[in-house]
Amino acid sequence: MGTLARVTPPITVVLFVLLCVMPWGLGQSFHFALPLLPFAAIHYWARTSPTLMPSTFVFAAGLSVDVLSYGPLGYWSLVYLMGLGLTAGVERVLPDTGPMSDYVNFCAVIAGLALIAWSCASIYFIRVIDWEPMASAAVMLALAYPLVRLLLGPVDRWLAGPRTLNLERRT
Amino acid sequence: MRTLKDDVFARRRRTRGFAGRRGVAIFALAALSLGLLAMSRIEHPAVQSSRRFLSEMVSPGLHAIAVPLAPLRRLGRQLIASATAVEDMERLREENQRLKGWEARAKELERRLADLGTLARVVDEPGIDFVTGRVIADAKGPFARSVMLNAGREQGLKGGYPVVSGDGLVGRVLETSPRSARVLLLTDLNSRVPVMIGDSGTRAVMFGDNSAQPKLAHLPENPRFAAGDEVVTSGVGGLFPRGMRIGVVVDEEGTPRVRLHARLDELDHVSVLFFETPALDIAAEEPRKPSTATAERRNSVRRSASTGSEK
Repeated sequence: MGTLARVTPPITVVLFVLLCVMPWGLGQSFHFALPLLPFAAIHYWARTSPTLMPSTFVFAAGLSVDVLSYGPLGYWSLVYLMGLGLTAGVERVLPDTGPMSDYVNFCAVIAGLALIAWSCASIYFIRVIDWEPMASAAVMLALAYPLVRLLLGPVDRWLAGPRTLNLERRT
Repeated sequence: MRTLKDDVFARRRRTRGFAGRRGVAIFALAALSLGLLAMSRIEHPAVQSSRRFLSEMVSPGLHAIAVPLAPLRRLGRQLIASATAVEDMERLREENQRLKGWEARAKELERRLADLGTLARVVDEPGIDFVTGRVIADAKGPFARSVMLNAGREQGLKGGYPVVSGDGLVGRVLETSPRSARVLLLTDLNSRVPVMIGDSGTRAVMFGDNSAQPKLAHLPENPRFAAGDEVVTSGVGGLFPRGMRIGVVVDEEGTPRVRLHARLDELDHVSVLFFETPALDIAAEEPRKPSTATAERRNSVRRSASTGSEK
């Protein structure tokens, strides 16, 4: 069960990575929002079980999105890593006290992350790119985050059961 | 208590912030990402080859996932379609009225063309062979506008081949691996297609700029076309066959743009035309010259900035 508990969070992130590159036919407004979707899962696990979301895995997840979306290598890995750093930074200011604080933390992180993603893309192109798609992507993801929590929550609770038992046995 | 502290599954462990080993790891990996980003910017061959290798590795997995997710994709499309159903219906009704008139005219022209062809003993152009593939991934984010197909070199695909959907031209094959291919869409920043506009046959070049509607540039001094005119490939340069449907001209704040017939966000199956032309050999060699490609991209950025029509 220990191994399963270790690999489940990364597997959920991999699933989100695959889902974000699938051709859903959802229109251009989703172009910027979908690559940020794996970060929602990264953020959730980084908050609930930081040790199960190592930075090397976050880097690999970002690199996978870069490869599959044919963007420049290193862009999404940089954005996800910055997001991981922001999550930890914001958590110092807004300690985790429940779903609401988690949501506020995510909104703050995603706003910062959208700014970082926009800045990186602008520097890459050596011109100021349109900020609106990135801003709307951040809003979309903020709206979608409760759904991500709803999906990952039961998985987390299911994994938490054996973990708690383990701890009880050890103590 | 010691066990609880050391247990990797300790839940809701309070973060120690950005400091410590984790912070160092994030910083080091971010630096590595920046290095990769810089290598991608200069189009280093190692980046291209590793990307091709990784794409080839994951393409079977993507194909395997794409099949069971097809009903979900259809549902997504239906939701989007239902949101614009009334608008679409009105547009289609108008289009249908116009096409009825064109149908009669086309039949007349077809008959006349056949008569003239017989008189002039014109040799029929050979048909172009094609292969149809499924779109298994599409690019998102602020960068490339491209899709990945589940057909590659094993199916005879080559870089530069034109790609069409039922509605019109979609783009061209950018790179191939044995079982997958990457298609550069017409909307991509690096896409350039020589086109003809309307009845006057005005020549121009259609530039992708990562927006939904590519813009028209390199127009003659007094261009004779209007919004609503049909845009087709001119065949200049030899990369695309002449006369392929692309879209119609739209006027967006004084900038002529093209509303594409093909719905690039909803591509499911596309056909790759085996259009053999000497221009393909030149086009295939171009990406191997990083300095030229980078210079071209820089020029395109400058051109875009000078027209002031960026998003």
